[in-house]
Parts: sequence; C-alpha cells; structure tokens
Amino acid sequence: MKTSPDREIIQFLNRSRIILNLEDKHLGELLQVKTRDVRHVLSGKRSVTIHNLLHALNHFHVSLEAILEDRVDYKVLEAQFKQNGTGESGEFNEYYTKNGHNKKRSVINILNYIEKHGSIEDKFLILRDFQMKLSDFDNPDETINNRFIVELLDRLFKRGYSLKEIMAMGEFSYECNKDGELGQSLNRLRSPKELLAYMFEVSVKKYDTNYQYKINKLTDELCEVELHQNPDVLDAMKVDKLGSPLVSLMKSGVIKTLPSFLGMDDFDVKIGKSIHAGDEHCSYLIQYKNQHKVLH
Amino acid sequence: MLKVPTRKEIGALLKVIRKINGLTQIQMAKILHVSQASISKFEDGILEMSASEMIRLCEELKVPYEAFVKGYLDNKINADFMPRKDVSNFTVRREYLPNCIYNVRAIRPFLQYMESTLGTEKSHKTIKEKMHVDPHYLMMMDSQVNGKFLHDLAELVPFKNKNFLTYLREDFCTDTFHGDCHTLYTKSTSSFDAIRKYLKRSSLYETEFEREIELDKDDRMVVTYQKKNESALDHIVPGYHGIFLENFVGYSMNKDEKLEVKTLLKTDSKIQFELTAC
Repeated sequence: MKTSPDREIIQFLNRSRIILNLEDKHLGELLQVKTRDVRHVLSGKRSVTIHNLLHALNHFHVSLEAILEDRVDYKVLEAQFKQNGTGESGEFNEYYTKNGHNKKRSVINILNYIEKHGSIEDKFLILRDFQMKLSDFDNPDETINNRFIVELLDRLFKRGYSLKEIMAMGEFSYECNKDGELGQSLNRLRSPKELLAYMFEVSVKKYDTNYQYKINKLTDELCEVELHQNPDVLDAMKVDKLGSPLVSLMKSGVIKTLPSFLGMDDFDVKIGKSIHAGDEHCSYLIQYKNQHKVLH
Repeated sequence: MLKVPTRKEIGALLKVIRKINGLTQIQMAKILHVSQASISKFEDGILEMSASEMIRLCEELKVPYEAFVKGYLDNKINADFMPRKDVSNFTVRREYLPNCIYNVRAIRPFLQYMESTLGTEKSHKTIKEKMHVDPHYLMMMDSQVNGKFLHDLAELVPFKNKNFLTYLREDFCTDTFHGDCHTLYTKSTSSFDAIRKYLKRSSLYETEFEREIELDKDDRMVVTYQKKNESALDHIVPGYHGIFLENFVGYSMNKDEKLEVKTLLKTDSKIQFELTAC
C-alpha cells in the first residue's frame, strides 16, 4: 500500500467526474464541499478530508482499498451511477458473472457467515469492495464465476479472517442449508456412505460445474473424492487453474459438516491432492470410522 | 448507504485508537507528522484529519480502514488487526469487569438514551466522574461490562421512569438505534420476521438470557427469556423486554400491522411474553 494516497484519491475523483460528466456543483454536493473548493480539491491544493472521502465512497459505492489499489471498475461505476444518479441501481459486475458455473448459494452462505459473526455492515462493505450490492445476492440460483469466490476469500483473508474462520465459512453451509431443499434431500439418507455418494454424484452437479467430481473410493469407513477441472471453463476463462488454496479449505469445511444432515458427528477431512500444489487434480480424503449420532 | 460518522465521532475514535495502542498525543503526532495541538483538536472534533493522515494512521497502527468508515471499532472479526494489549489503557472501574455478561452493543440503547437526555459531553463526563469508566472504552463495540455497570448506570439516569420507554418507542426504528442490524430489520416482512432475526442475533450481544421461541405461528408467538446469570437488567426497567419486542412492529414492511405483547409469566429467573399480531 502506498503511503501517499492523495494522488490516487484525486485521480479517482477526476476520472469519476469526467466519466459521469459531473459538474462542480454536483461533485461539491457529493463531497460536501463548497462549489468553489471543488477545483482546489481536484488539483490537490486543498486536502481531501475524511468526510469528503467517506461521502465519496458512499455515493460512488466503491471501497477505499479499490481506489488505492487502482482497481475501480469505471464501467460498473458509470452504469450504476447513470441510471438514477445515486449509484443505487443494481448493475452486476460482468467480470464476475461471465462463465458463471457456481450457484450464488455458496457465496451467499459465506456472506451470511460474515453477517452473523460480524454485522450486516461488514457484509455491505465487503461487497462494496467488489462494487456490488446486497441485492445482487438475493437469488441463490443465479450463477457467478469461479473468480469471484477466489477473490472474495482472498480479500477476507487479507482483512484478517483466519484460516480457521475460512473453514468455518464452509462449515456454516450446514446452518444455511439444513431447512432448505438440499437439507431435505440429504436428511433422508441413512449413512455417511449414502450421503457422500448422493452429494458427489448427484447433488453437487446442481451447484458447481467448475469441476467434475469423481468418487475414487467409497467404503464404510472412508471416501476419496477427486475434483477435475472442467476444461470448458478453463478455456472460456483463459486460465490454467481454478479455485485457490483458500477455496479448497472452505470446501473441506463444507464436507466436514455434511454428517450434520444425518445428525452425526463431523467427518475428518484432509486435502489429499491440490492443483495449487502442483498436482493434476484436487482430492479430499474423508474418514468417518466410528461415526456416532449426536445426542441432543 | 452507510451513515457517515460525525467529526466528533471520528475524533473520539482517534482517541480510542491512540489509547488502545498506549500512545501519548505526542507519539501519535509523530506518526501523523502533525503537532500535538493538532492531535488534541482532532480528538475533540475541532479539526478534521485529512484522508491521507487517516490512511497513514491505519497503515502504521494496523487499524482497518473500516473503523473510520463505520465510526467504531469492531474486533469481533478483525481481532488480529488490532493490537489489543488489554483494557489497561482505559480507566475502567475494577468492579465492572468480573463476570462480564454485556457486550457494549447490548447496552447501546441505555447509553444513547443517556446521551439524548444529558447531551453527549455531559453523559461522558458523568460516566467518567461518577462511574470511573473512560467513556471511550464504551466506543469499542466488543468491550465487555458486567451487570453491576448497568445497575450503577441506572442510579445516574432515570431509566425507571416513562421517558426511557417513550424514548425506546420513538427511537427504536431509527438507523442509529440498532446500528449494524438496522438494514437487516428494515427488510422484515412482518414484526414476527424482525423479532425472529433479532432473537437469532441477540445472544451474540447479551449473554444474560437464553431466549427461546416456544410457539411460532402466523399470528401468535410465545417468547421465553430464561435468566442465566444474576444481573440487574430486569430491575432497571420493568417491562423493558416487552417494549423492546413490541417495537419491532416498526420495522415491518406491513405498515398496517399491530402487535400486542402480553406478559404471560414473570418469575425471578424467567419472563415469558405472548405476542399477537393483528
């Protein structure tokens, strides 16, 4: 992070003014400065105060981090802002929707974790860092691409969420799904073996087609599942790897609490292979020897 | 859209950050490359920091920018970011710290009422002089206090009279009252919906009671508060919990909705309310 951030902030204000065709009076109202001072702010003769900055972040719906790291998407800013002049209309960032092979459901679970363990403001602010709104995540059945979940977990990690919490975000998936369609399908099953077979052979296809899930071994005591990257997604996104170590960790949290749908203790989950460690595919080793019913 | 903190709130936050880090005004001035007098004026809300000074401060002391965006410190998630030495940098009367059961969020209505009746400066002065607690300690949303703190606070402010309940009724649905949760509640389709959301979250802020929804129907709900610890809260304002629940009707998008709250049972350890929507 640079230590002299005035230049980035002023550059952002200047670019926004030009792109949105804002007059000095309007920009002055947004920043809460007098019209005659706008030019001084834009030329760097007058300091940008905290209040000027906070009002600007609110009105343009961008994060300070995005300004300082020069990753504001001005196309999204323009589309959002021009619709009604306040930036309130929803314009989803195409960078994250194109080639969407994930249901938003898993992202919503992560966002709900943030809200439950932090606040709705924390959820609002992390989405603002992506120039997205809470309402962009109203529908769990809409799709989003792999890039979003990778960047979301990466930014949460940088903001201070620990590895334990990233895993807990996956574990929280049970809380979010227990009363829903997925919960109803899973809690009819009778054993860990049945549960895992259903999960990786049937259910996962509805939620995540970034990978092809293949059960390599399934016994009464353990399961090994492989995740092979979908070549069509790699081609379309022009990348050679999907996911990230943090996404793998979050997924292992999801798998860990799957037995909760059967009222049983958590699985013991280990990441066997990882694309990000140089392996050809990812794999999870799931053990459930001596699985017990949880007594309430 | 988030509420932008006032200059005074930012100043008070700066003071909290300085104290948490155990810094003097002179040391803070060195970090920000300003004079000690400027730090004093920043903290009193007389002068405003520039954005670049705020950013420098955040980078040097590892404070998340979000603290300034929100106007308070929230260590619940970002504990690693904050060099939380301990509370020794704040004057807090020793008797208020053992067996803490309240998170500052839970006592926010009481503090806000006090500020609205006495004014912010006078209420801070009262807390500081009569209770021997640094009011800045109460600006950290995850600071903890025990039941005795509330009990003593009640001696200073007439929570028992009707004004507090009126205040509660009038201010309950403003965006400052529930802070972070305001937007969550305003999306509620009915008062029951809002109450469910509240009850789900409330154990995070106040551990005094186990709350349970005993009956949950479209037009009737029974909520039980089972006391877990010895505490002063229910002695401070009789009927406080009932009015608290009743007010959630204000968040409902169904503007014609009315909510009746009846106390079904009240013992030393348990309060039970019947809520009827009409």
